[in-house]
Amino acid sequence: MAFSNAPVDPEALPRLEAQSLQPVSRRFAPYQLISRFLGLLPLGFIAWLLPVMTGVPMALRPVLLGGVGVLLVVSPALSWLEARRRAWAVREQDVTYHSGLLVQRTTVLPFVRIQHVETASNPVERAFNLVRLTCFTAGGAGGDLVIQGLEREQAERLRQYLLDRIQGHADASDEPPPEASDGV
Amino acid sequence: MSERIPGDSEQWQRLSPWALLILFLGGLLRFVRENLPLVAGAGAGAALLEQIGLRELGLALTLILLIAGLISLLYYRRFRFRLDGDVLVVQRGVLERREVKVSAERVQHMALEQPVYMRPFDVVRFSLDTPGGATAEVELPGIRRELAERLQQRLERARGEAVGDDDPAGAAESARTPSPPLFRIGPLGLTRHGLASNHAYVIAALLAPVLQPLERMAMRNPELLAELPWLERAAESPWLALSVTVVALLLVLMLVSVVVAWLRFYGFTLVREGSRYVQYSGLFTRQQQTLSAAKLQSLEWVQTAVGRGLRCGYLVCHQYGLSAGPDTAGQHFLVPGLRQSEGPTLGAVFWPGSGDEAAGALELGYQRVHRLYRRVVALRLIVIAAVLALIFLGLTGFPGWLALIGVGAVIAWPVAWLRWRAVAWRRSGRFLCVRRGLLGRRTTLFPLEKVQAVTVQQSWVQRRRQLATLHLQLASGPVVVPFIPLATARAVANEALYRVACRPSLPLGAEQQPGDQAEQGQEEQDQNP
Repeated sequence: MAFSNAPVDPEALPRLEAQSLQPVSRRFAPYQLISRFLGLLPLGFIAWLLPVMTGVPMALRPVLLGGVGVLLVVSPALSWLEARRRAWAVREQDVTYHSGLLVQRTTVLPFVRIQHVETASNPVERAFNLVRLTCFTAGGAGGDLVIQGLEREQAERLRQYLLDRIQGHADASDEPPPEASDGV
Repeated sequence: MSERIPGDSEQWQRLSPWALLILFLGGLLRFVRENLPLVAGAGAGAALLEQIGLRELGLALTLILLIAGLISLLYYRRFRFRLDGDVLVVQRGVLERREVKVSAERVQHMALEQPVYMRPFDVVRFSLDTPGGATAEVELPGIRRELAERLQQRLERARGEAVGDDDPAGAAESARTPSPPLFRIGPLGLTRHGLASNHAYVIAALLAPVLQPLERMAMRNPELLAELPWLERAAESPWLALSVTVVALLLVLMLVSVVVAWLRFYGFTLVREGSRYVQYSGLFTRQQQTLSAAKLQSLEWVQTAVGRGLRCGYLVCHQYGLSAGPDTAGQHFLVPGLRQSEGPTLGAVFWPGSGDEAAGALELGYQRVHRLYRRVVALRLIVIAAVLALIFLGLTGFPGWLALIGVGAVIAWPVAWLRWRAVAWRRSGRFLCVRRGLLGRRTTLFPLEKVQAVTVQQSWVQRRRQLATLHLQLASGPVVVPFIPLATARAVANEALYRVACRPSLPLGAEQQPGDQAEQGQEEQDQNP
């Protein structure tokens, strides 16, 4: 087995931070807002019912409802802000996804590590014509990359591109990676 | 290169008849071990209930044994396997018929186990491990040793050919002429490993339900204690009684731990055979595990809290698959009872060709993370203390709980400082080494090309100081380096991505230099605005 281990010059490496990332679909932000609001709504019911069902005094009910109300306003607003900043990019060898508001994370997943690609969408996402793309790796559920907020056609093209790269049929220089230039 | 294995593996085979015994006893033991709290509680409860006489108990036990025997018989009748070229096909199942096909190149770990009652018949339990989820393990519970070893060789050879091993015949040769062992454990090492292992706490947790019935039994029969006058005197002073009980319990746990270590690791020997590592161990139940060098993802040097005091630890060789469970489960490739100096040296052996780099990563001086980590950890602890205090205050209405915040504020800073000191990392060539852990210590060593994905994470506090937390996802779990300079985090991430894409095993990667790729990237950027 020919083994080479030449030293690598850090300055000459391609930089993950030098990529220009494409933002996700503009419809993702309202989707996140609505999704978070709907997710927190059950808390309101619980706050309403808690004094009735358990021994919590009735005087606390307005306090609980007030707290949940504040939460129902602040949390969706924050997720709306966060959704607008999400971005992704594809290079020759890997795919990048950036997310987060207070805690920002940029995840880069090389194509050789992708075992399987799947798309999915829940009913709210379907209403907005959005699709969630999941790239499965060998690292378990924590290691999978989920790209949220892609348009349906865009997601399908990206999925096909990734599948081709995984199977090694596409040559990187022939088929350019899909871009967001035509999707809104 | 296909050796005609006389008679066997091409047709369907059954397990050896002695496998019935393995299935029966092994099944019972596994049931008891997995449901130990239930069994212990039920047994203790049943023993103390005066209504249940011996006859009923005997009847119930016989019924359970009969059912177990029937299930084992059915399982044995339905079980068959064969080797179809490179693929091992296994059909099994009592209620649900299941067929499992394992191809040789997916196998990452093979183990042969021989319980003591099978030694006269030379029957072993052969198990395979593949990267995957819950159904990743395939087991042949009871075949002849020669058949097991032939299966092992066939699968090894087939895997070597599939992976592109250039000298499978050479590997077979070196397998027949055993090389000197890399490591062999001695009695001192066994004892140290037993003392240092965390087994004790697990056993204590499992035995907890037995303590209450024992206590009731003791109180109901005071004449037992009358035999020991010094015990009676000790029982009069509550503090003395408490400390005596605690010390006695600790001694019992330590003894059990050491005994278990001796049983499991007696005669532990590690050898390298060609491109794989084999370990032999066990006093009554003999075990043999095989690890393929190419499938090794990361190496972990673990020292428990007691182990640090005794200056000993153990190595864990991680393959694909998350190993979140305790290392004592018996499924991991483990090298126990290593002294502080031996551990890192042996660790370097597992990376053939890069021994110096690996040893350098493990032994030489570490880099610490940024001081800000201390403040962040301390603040987190204080916030947790405050939240707990408020919760307890709300639940009980006792204002004294607010003192918890004060206590938290006082101990948070020393604890945070200790945690900051415990985190360290080091780059050495293509290896990265990360050490974590407050009481126990875990040092993870891996080459950058094993990385699955990288994440550079920044909280708003880190953004202001140009720091970042680097997450490296391996096939064996995540490795996190917190609070390092942003530029360093990006440099490590970039290099890891480069090495993953251009591994020397790939024909494309060996000649390609970073300069070429940067030029290609530049052209790509010029073409696509």
